[in-house]
Amino acid sequence: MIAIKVDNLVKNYGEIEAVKKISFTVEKNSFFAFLGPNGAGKSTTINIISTLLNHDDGDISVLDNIVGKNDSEIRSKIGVVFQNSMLDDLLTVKENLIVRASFYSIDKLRLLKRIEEINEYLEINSFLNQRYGELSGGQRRKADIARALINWPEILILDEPTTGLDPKSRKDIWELIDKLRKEKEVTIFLTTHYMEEVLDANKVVIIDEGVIVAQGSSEELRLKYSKDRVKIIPNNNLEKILKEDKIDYYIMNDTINITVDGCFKGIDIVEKYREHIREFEILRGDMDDVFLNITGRKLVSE
Amino acid sequence: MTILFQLVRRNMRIYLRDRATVFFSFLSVIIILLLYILFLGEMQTDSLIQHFGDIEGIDWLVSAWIMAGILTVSTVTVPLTVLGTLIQDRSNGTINDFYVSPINRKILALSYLISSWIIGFVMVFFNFVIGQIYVYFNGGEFLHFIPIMQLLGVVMLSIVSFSSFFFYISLFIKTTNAFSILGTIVGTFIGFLGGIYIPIGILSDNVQFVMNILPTAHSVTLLRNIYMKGAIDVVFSGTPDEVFDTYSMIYGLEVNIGDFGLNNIHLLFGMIIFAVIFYILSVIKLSNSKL
Ligand SMILES: Nc1ncnc2c1ncn2[C@@H]1O[C@H](COP(=O)(O)OP(=O)(O)OP(=O)(O)O)[C@@H](O)[C@H]1O
Ligand SMILES: [Mg+2]
Repeated sequence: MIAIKVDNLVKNYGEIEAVKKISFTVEKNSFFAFLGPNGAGKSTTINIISTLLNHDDGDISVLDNIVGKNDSEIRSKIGVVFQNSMLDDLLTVKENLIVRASFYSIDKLRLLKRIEEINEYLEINSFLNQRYGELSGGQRRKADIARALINWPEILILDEPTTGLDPKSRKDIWELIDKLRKEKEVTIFLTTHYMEEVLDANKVVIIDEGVIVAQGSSEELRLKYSKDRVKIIPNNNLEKILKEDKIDYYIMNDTINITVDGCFKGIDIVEKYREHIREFEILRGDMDDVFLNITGRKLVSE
Repeated sequence: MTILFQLVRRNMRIYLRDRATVFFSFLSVIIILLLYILFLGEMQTDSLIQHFGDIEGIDWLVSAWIMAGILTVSTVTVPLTVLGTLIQDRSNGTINDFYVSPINRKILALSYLISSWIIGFVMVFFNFVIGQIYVYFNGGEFLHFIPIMQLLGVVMLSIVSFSSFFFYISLFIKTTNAFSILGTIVGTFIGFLGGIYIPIGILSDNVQFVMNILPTAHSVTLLRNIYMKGAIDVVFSGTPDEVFDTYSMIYGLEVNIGDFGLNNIHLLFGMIIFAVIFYILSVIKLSNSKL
């Protein structure tokens, strides 16, 4: 079952070609990650899928409804967490939720039950009666997500939900997404710049400058585009020996790094130079390398 | 219905909880009042005494005149400030949060209008009560029930007209910055447009013509005639008709376009037509663009 189908989507902002003929599908009840650097076109795509923004060309369907035709069907079935906070600063979280719940014809009684349910996932009870504008960054994000869950959407769309958050709040949001996936039938569509956030995804689509540059499961992408490596703290002139043996390596934070095809090749290297090695680690190629290897650029510039 | 109710309540809360906004919507009123208390009031009183002699009730006349003017000013500035929520919602993206929800967009648009009517009315009423107290302490009398009802009716119509106008304008304003510039411009000119800083009768014919086709003149003239009735009866009881005619022309108790004098029905229709025009323009604009 397909939840979202995007076919040859094109979006221009005047001269700027933000999205250039991209196509992908999102399986129902899967965890889909849309990965790309700043300005790649992630928010643009999300806004088109969630019926906010008109597109110039291409066909999009969401839960078998066509974007641009059955928009209100779509709206009733999705929940969107925007990149920027969009609740009202001067209202409490609860007041915000009451207003939004009315959009889905959720009456007060059902809403209170709903808030209880959402609280199981998000722990929002402690700040329900606090004004949204007075919340911490992490609390605000949770309130945003609570708002997106208010209609128990079939598709939950999150645009960079963790950007700018502290590690603890990030972890909370990760756990929430995990729990939702386990306990609810919901399709999760997430955008991010962080490779580590897409590791659990069923499917990752990498977008760069409005073009899809790679797609697959995170494992597939990792195998295809990144290499494992051995990280060594040498105890004597290993560098010189490596040079003599014509083995490529690079130095990072005073460690010697050698990329290898698979971790067993790594063990061979460790065996061979055993007496020159003080400590070593064999590291699996990580998702950060994937983007670097595809585009020649780092995903998040330091 | 519940959606509309919830949205209106939300807009009202947002307005009322932001003290700066509430203050700002009365800023012009406060400035006008201060100017009157400091010198404009005295100048007007002196000038009237010079013309008509020191007749009884002049303070009442002057204070009722200014309070009627202030009412019109607040029917302009309060709805404008309340509509600021729309611009804020657009500029910080809250409107997108509404737009991804399955709500009727006409209802969303209407919610901003209705909020500006309700808050406008409550705030202007509050303004009216204070004005009555001011007039009372300046030797005047409180208005009776029927004039109060008439007055509030005109106030309501005035609010509906101006919020329809500003609603249309705000469909073109993208940033809160542009909106606050609009607020400043309106706040600055409204005292002139209402013929409050300078009585309309001493301005040139062309300026008078422009002012008189605007609903500010219609609103303020209707309000003055109701508000000042008691004072006029006292002040002009013993004077020849020409004296009152001159006063009424100079101080904007009548609206003439060219040689044609508008009666109350014309004035009411002027405001209604103004409201309807901008309402229709807004509907047209919204039918092919977002809020
Ligand atoms: N309203 C707009 N008008 C003009 N150009 C825009 C507009 N919105 C986005 N763009 C441009 O379109 C491109 C894609 O932007 P988009 O916001 O979709 O990127 P993104 O992947 O979400 O980036 P980020 O990670 O920074 O949020 C960028 O070049 C951006 O400058
Ligand atoms: Mg974005």
